[in-house]
Amino acid sequence: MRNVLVIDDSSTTRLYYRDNLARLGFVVREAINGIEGLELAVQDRFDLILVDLNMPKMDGYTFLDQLRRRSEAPTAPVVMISTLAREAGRAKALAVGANGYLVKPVNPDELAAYCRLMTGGAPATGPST
Amino acid sequence: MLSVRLPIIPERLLISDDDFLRFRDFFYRKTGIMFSEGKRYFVDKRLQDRMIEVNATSFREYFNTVCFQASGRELQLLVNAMTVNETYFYREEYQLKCLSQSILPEVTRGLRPGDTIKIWSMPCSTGEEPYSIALYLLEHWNRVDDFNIEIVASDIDTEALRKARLGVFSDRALQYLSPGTIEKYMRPTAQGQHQIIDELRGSIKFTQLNLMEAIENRAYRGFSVVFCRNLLIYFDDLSRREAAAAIFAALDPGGFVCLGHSESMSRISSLFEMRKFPEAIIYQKPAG
Amino acid sequence: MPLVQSKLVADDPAAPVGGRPDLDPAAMSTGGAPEARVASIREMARRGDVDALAQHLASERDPAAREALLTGLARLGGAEAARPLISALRGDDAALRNGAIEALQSMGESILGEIETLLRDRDVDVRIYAVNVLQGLRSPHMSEIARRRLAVDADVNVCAALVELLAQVGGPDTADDLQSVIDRFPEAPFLAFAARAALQRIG
Repeated sequence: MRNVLVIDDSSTTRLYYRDNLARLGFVVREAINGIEGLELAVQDRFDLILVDLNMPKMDGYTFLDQLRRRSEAPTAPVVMISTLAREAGRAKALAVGANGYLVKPVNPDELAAYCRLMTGGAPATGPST
Repeated sequence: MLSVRLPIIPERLLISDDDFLRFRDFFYRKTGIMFSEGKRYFVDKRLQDRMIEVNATSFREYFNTVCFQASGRELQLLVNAMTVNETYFYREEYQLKCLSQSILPEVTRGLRPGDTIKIWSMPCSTGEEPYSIALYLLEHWNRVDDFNIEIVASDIDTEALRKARLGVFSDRALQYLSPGTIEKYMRPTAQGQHQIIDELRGSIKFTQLNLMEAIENRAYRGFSVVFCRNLLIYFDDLSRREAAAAIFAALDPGGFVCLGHSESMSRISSLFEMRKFPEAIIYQKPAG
Repeated sequence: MPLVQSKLVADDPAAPVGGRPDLDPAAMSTGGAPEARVASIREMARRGDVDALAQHLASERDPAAREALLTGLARLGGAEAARPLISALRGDDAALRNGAIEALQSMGESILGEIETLLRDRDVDVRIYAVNVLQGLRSPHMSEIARRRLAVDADVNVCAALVELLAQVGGPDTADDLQSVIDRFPEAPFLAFAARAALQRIG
């Protein structure tokens, strides 16, 4: 059972990831900003964290920076998601410890491939189709 | 034979599943309170009560009022209706446990015996919270005798403060206290209630205050812990941020703020740092 | 008993009116302690000195002082106070940008015109921020403004943000606009998803 944390202030975006990831057998938790994401990330174990760059209260970079500094948070792979115009942020994202970087809007196939890659292959259990 | 008249909800005021979801998302964004499907009846009933009160002809019409009314008054009334305002001793006890087992040990790390620790309960309402803090520490904190503990309790409501100073409570408010605690710190009144003993009542400083004014007032500074539970959910976004700033100013660097169970600082302000303790997640003013 | 009554004097006759902390006029320029700067900033806000608030917004790094600047401008409202916040949207400081979005969201109808203009900005991200601000404003005109923009914006992410806004506040009259945007971007699965979710929501 693979656990994914999705952090994005857009409810539609979270729903989109949830729909796609659930189909792949992931269990999805949601947070609407970096602070809330941090709360969840330090309490539960996640196999993958998807975080949007631009969020209120705490943006994606700050979230990742804080997460990496905390000893109680396991080092889950983090994929940062951003709009194309700020592509220059890719280097910065990798510099603060992102394991991957996706550009919005995210294509379902790309999302699936990325998630499988980050969590070391297909999930052990998945829904029967 | 008892005849029961059931309220008949006009069809125009029925709330569809999509309406519920739309309302739920909106309310969540506004207050951080998320209603599960199990709360459907609870939510529908309160929405319908409000709709009837304001003579709304449909949910959509009512929802538009809530979203767009410039004064925000209907939203305020709706929030009041949706939030349950029970107060009793040892409410949200896990935070009191966190106070004695995690927060105060950290606060007192650099202190010497005899030093002062200031704790603020705001809003204090009719006193259950500040008295609970006092009792819990007296009964459970192993270092309670090493320090001078000043509890300040503030509220905007003078009538609530009057009752708080009086310190008289019913059995219902005390139901989570042990008989031993009640016997030790309270005495029965002629009316069959209980009053906090004079020594304890006199040790808490009750003040009238509007939180927004505290940031201007130098008297409200230097607190190690602030309890601000179930107040901020009633504020609009801007007021909430200002209130968080007021709490920030009232705290010493490294001080802690405890909010209500369904509240989260993550929705309010980025000034505080999140601290994860075994008992709870609490927010802290950076040590700076 | 270890509990002692606080000597706090809530109404100290010796204190300035309202117990206001002494203001140090030099606090801002000499880089005084954050608390002193916060007090100065609150005084600027009280006087309605938008220029002073704007001037410090770009350079202030202390979080509490920055927060006081943002909420001060938000409280003042209006186009003049919005201007420095809108400038902050174009900068590289993500925390300041997000703080500015939130501040603008609290300013309500007083800045509707400014936000509509921002929706036509050349920078895609700025347009997205404008939609974010619009989402937070309490205005009956939101839906109409969003629909107008949705019909013409060329960027898929901006349209997705507009679709999300319409999911929250749009009425059945937005159905056609939502269907059109699905037709306009056939290669965008996320946008189709968002538009369909919105269509379902508005009923």
